Amino acid sequence: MKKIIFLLVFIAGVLVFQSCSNDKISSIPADFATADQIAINAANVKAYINNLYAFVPRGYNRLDTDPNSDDIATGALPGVPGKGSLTAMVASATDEAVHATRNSAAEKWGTGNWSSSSTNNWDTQIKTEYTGIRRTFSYTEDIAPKLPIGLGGNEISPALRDQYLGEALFIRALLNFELLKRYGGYPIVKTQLAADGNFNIPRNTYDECTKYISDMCDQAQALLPVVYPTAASDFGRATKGACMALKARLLLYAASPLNNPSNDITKWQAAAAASAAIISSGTYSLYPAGTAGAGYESFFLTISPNPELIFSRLEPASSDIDQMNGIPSINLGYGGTCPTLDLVNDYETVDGKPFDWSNPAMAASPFTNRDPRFAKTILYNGAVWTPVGTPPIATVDTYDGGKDITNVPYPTRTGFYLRKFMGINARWIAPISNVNHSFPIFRYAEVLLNYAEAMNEAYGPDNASTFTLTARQAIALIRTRAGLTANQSVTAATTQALMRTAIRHERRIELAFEEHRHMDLRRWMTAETVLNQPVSGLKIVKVGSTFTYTPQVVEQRVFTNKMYRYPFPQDELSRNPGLVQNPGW
Amino acid sequence: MKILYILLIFSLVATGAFAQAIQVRGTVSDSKGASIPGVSILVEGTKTGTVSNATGQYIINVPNGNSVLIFTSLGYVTSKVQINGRKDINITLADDEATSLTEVQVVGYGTQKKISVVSAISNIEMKDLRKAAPSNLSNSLGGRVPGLITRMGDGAIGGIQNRYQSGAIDDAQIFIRGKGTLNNSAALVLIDGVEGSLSRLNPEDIDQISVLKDASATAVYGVRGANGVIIVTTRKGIVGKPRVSITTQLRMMKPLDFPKFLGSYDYATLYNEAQKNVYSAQVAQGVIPASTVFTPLYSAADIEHYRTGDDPYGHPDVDWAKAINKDHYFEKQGIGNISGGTDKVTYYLSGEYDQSGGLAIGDKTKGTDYNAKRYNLRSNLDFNVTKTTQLSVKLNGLLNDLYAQSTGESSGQRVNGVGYYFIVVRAPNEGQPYNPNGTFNWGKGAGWNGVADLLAQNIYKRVSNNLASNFSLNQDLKFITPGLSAKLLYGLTYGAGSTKTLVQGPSMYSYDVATGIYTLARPAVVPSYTAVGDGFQPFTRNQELEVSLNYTKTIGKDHNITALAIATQSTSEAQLALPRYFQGVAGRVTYDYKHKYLLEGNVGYNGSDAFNSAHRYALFPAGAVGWVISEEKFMKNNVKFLDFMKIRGSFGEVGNDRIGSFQYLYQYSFSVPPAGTTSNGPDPGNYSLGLNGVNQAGYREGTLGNDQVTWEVAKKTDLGLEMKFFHSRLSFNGDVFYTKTNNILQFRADAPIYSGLSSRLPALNIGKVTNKGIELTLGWADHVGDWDYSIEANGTYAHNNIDYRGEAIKAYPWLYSTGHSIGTEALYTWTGKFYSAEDIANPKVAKPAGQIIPGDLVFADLNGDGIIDGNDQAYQGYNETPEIMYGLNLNVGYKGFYLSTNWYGAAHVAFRPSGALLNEFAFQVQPYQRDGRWVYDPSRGLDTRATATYPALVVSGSTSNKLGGGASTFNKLDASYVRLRTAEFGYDFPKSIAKKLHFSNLRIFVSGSNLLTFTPLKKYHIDPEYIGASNADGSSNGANTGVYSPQNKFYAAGLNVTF
Repeated sequence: MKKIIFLLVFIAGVLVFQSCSNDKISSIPADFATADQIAINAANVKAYINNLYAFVPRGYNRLDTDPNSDDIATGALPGVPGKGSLTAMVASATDEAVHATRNSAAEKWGTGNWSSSSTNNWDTQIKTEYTGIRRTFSYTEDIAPKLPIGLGGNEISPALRDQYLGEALFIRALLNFELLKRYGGYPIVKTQLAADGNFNIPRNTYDECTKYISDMCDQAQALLPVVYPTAASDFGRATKGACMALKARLLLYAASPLNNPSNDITKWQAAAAASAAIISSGTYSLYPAGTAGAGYESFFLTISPNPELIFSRLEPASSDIDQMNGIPSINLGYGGTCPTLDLVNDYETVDGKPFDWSNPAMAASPFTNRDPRFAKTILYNGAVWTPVGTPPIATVDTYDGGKDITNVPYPTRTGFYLRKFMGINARWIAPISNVNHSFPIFRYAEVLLNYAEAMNEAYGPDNASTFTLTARQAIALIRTRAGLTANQSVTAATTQALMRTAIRHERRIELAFEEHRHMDLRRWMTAETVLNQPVSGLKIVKVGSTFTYTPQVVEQRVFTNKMYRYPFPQDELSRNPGLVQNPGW
Repeated sequence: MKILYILLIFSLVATGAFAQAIQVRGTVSDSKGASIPGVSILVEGTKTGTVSNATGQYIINVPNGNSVLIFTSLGYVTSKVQINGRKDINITLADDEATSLTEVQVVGYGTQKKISVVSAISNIEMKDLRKAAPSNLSNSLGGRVPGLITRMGDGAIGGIQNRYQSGAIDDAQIFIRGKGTLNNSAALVLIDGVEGSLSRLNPEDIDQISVLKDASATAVYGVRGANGVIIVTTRKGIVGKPRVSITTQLRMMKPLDFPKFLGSYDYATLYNEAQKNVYSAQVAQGVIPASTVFTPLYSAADIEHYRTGDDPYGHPDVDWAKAINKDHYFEKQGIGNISGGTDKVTYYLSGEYDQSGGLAIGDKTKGTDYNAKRYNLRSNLDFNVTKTTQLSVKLNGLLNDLYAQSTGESSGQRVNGVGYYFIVVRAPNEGQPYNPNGTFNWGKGAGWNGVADLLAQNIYKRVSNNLASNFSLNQDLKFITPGLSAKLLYGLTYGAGSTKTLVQGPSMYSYDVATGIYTLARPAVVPSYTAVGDGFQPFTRNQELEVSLNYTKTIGKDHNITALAIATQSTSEAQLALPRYFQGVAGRVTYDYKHKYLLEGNVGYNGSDAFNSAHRYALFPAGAVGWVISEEKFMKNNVKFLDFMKIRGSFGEVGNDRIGSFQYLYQYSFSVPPAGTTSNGPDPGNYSLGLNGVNQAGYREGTLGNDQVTWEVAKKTDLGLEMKFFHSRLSFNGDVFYTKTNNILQFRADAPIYSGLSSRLPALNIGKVTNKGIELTLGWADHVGDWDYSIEANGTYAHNNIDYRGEAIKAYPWLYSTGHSIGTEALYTWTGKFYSAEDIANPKVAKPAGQIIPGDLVFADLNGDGIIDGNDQAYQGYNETPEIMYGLNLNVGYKGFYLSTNWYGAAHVAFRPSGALLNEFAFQVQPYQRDGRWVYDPSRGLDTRATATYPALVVSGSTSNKLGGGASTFNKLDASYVRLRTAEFGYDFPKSIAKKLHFSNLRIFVSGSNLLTFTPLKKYHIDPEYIGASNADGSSNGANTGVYSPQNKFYAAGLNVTF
């Protein structure tokens, strides 16, 4: 009996151990995807490529004072879960706007409070950019070589293979350009670095980086389609035009004073040629004009293929942007981006004359008879604006005592609110109504402006060289579409220098709030003046039915020479002894 | 109750009714002839007794010549003497050596004779632990034995958890000898040999809890042993007649200290002041022009309404914590067990019912209330199948029913609206909870109503079942060779459950005070249940299989040998986690010569599937030696007061594989980019493609694999001394330990950003931590006359130091966490001053970027660059894990009455408020912020510039107090404490009375838990043990937001009967 029991114990034990030993302990769980598993599945490959679009730069209110905080910790916007951080637009750090809530990242940036500390550089995207670059390499190096090429059900056609490669290369080029424009020459990473690999890569020169990115644009362009046949699923993907537009901007930046101190004319010529290639391709045109300014406005709210749109960052439908810049008399609107009086003053009258407060007729009714783009970009006192929010409003009242500035939580500091990008159908309290948003990265109007600028510098205002348009003609296209009734060809700009001023002015107006200004002022090397003086708003007092307007300073601005380039994060310098910091930081 | 009263009278009668008859006298002496003082002498079957005096002499009156005297003294064998008419009885008591020789100690995978144990093991005294035991037993271990560092858990009933926590949130953090690794430091808990949790055990079911601390004790557990092991053994039946024990008690639970906030009048006044502070500073600094008009949020009329409270609907004043909490609630517990057996089978069967109401109010309109219920059933059976074969079957079924309010989750992760946590910090003037007619008020503005919110969509209904089964078969193999036996153990614990959220919403009405009209503002939401996904489903299955051989042999008379060989295998599976497998063999050999010279060797050879196959198995050896000096003749004969003295030392290696599985694999992950990711993160936000504006899912490269990842190895050294004096009245235990943990998995922080790896960098086995400390226990137990008393004090000091962790190169030496304890924070150094307007204007005074207002904190500019920024944050101070923990057990007994108390405390521990506790007006203000604030406003006659203890108030924004999330020495508060954890006063009725009622024992008691707390945190109204909603593995960073359910104190009354 005893022996039998012992034997049973022993046999049972051995059997159990035998049966479930090494197969379990040495197995690799199926829950993990490897590069091989992704490469053999067409849907997975597509999902990998799609994820690269997460790295396309975002616009709108993207500056955050503390990316790690939750709302209960900052308490900035009481009672609203998840919206606590003082997110501001880049525009609010330039002379375009100030942010309604104090101590925003934009305010800190604009007032010179930024540094090489990784927590103190409000626009540092370096981690995102290099992470994204690495992802493009893990596609080209790990996944692309293993694709099942063919025309079968789960196979990837050669055309699709080319398209994927083109998309990866375009995004890689775009991210490299995002680095270049911020830091100047940066360490180019040309492969996936191993975790224990060589981490000592020096900076390349600006021109080396430009060449590297430009070549990549050419490569990608050759692989990508002009348009995608199925917009429903593929709208938003990189096209030939996107690569060309990136190259055009890249070369324009390379020719600009900051990056071209010797003013090498061939760089301007190359930039002009890159823009001209897009113009002559005939693929794009300005969004049609209807009534004055209508084409300009509807371009930003038309989230579907349109002839002016070259490439944009598509956001999932939401009303966040609209709420963050919403008029605070609408329940839970956060004021957000408050355009400055400086920008407002720069809008011409509708017949193309400069606006002037000392002209009594203009000063008495400052918001009428302006460049139609003004009313489509900025909400001013008396503007008619009827979004679907509660309570419904008819006009914007930012005079002292007016409903949009008095007794509201986040009143405008300048007397103005933002209109550009704002969806009139967005509603952020129940019943919620979300709208689509797309932040334009490249659009045809910018291409024309790039072209005009490069042409003017390379050949003067009225010389078309071998191309079809002169600088003046390109500007005229934009001003005509804007709805200006006269002076579309900026007749007063008779010299190259005057034309330069006119082009820069046009850029400021046409591309307001699209994240061009902070870089334009840098590459023109005018930031030390423009961004180093206070910005103003309007104090508006209503007496009877008349308004009086008093300009007042709303924020001091600080820009010193070192700020032309961003500082590399201090930690990064510690990790990489070969990295040389930008001067002054 | 009536019965008790009668019993009490009986008892008085009984004790008073004894007569005088014969007087007996004599001397009590020990085997060496020395007299023994303090021996208890009792006449059998009566309450008559006395105690020997200092020279061992006694006098006692006995009823008649046939009486029997019982002599008892600690450290001696109890002796019974029939007097047979004698009047002088001198007696010699034998030393209690025999008992100490047979006493056994639970060790890893078995038991050993206590005298020959050379490892550092402590046993928790169960009879103390059962007194005023909280419903979650893990909360009562700290300070009971040396070597445990603990923090109490959250007070939410039933251990409700949210999706981001692995354990129940009322679980205490338990670290054996503090923290020795930067990763999971939690101890391994084994219940009858199977991994389990202490939280929902029935304290009556536990026979013994042993804490295994050094390498010698835990090496057999190999890669699981580095953090120490807690072994829980459940009770067995004892041969004899059925014995039934029933305990019932009722507890009144009251919350411990919990953040307190100000009322509306103070709130509004201070709000205006805070606004003004910022306004004045901005004018002074030219940020806004001086012509800007200051408009306070609250007008003078508003303030007056708040002061008089005459407009409760327009100007409410609500204490939300009070509005949603009760003053107290009740917990009922009933425990019954029956045990007994024959020589064939013994049994121990038990049941427990525990029901606890919640602190939060239920729905008044429906009469429902929150509650947690627990049903615990156990059946432990031991069969003697043959004379040499034992089969043991242990089954434990646990049913948990929870109906409770959501505690809330932090933003961005919130799935169920606003939970309990976020209501208690609401501003007092947001609206009234109820209208005059009892309906819910729509509140001001957006319809916030904390009470309605709590009842709306935030109710969890969770049921879960756990079954722990344990089968073991023990076969004596003496037919092969005497002393050999084999054992097979299979343990299965299985848990499953479901959680639903009740989505409902009471109707809310706005109320117009002027007209008295109610308007339906939000119609009621029809109640419906939604299943809550994934992490909420407590599905677990753990299996443990062991086959072992045991050998015991005495060679000659003096050479004792034992040997153990064991093979183990375990798997654990859970709902979403990947299954984990573990297997290994282990062995132990012990040898002693005359119980005097002790030797022990342990070895574990384990594999864990957490690692690549090349690094899957490891050998963990440990050895220990001991010397029982008191057994030496020169001690035995010369040092009379010393009964026992053992010196022991151990050294060995143990591993820790709880560092995240499958790090060796190169992974891709599929995800919808998480909502709300900021643009600065490495995985920026949502994106869309196509025309529909929908979030896209995508594949992306995950963490890179590192096939070199392997276990952490802790090299542990321990030196111990155990002593007993004066016939074991006085006892002393001391241990010194030194642990060096290598191979700690750490992420290389020195890889540059351009590698593109950022958070995807694989972890490497590069970290090193040293943990060292001492443990002491000193006890004294004696009786004087009818008085029994004992006092035992223990203390632990454990200090750890990060020796290496691969930090990035930093600009200044104070920026490294290396060289500090785990959990130490980088803090700005507050210099004890506040900025004045002059300081702010003075460019030579270092300031942080951004808006600074007078009355902000001044910090030391460590690098002297004139700016306060990240470079001035130095690692310093204590952290949230105490370095010192101590306990004191005091027991007094007198003729059946007893008082038992347990004190414990901690020192070298710090607390840092964050969130609502740090940020005034986010959304509330605390009394100490009002009382200590810096304010200079001559127009109101306020000037506290010289006396302020708190910065000037601001409504929001980054003043220097909030710099780095408030990580400054100003906010790092001393969280040391002393606490009276339990006190129980009771009475054991004399057997004679109990017998008349057909009981063998009858005890009544009143008790209390967490009755007194002494801490410097008093004025902050924060419990010093508060760990917030951090993980059970202790991954909090010491910054606590004040959004939690308060822990409880309780007062209980109960009754225990045995028959």
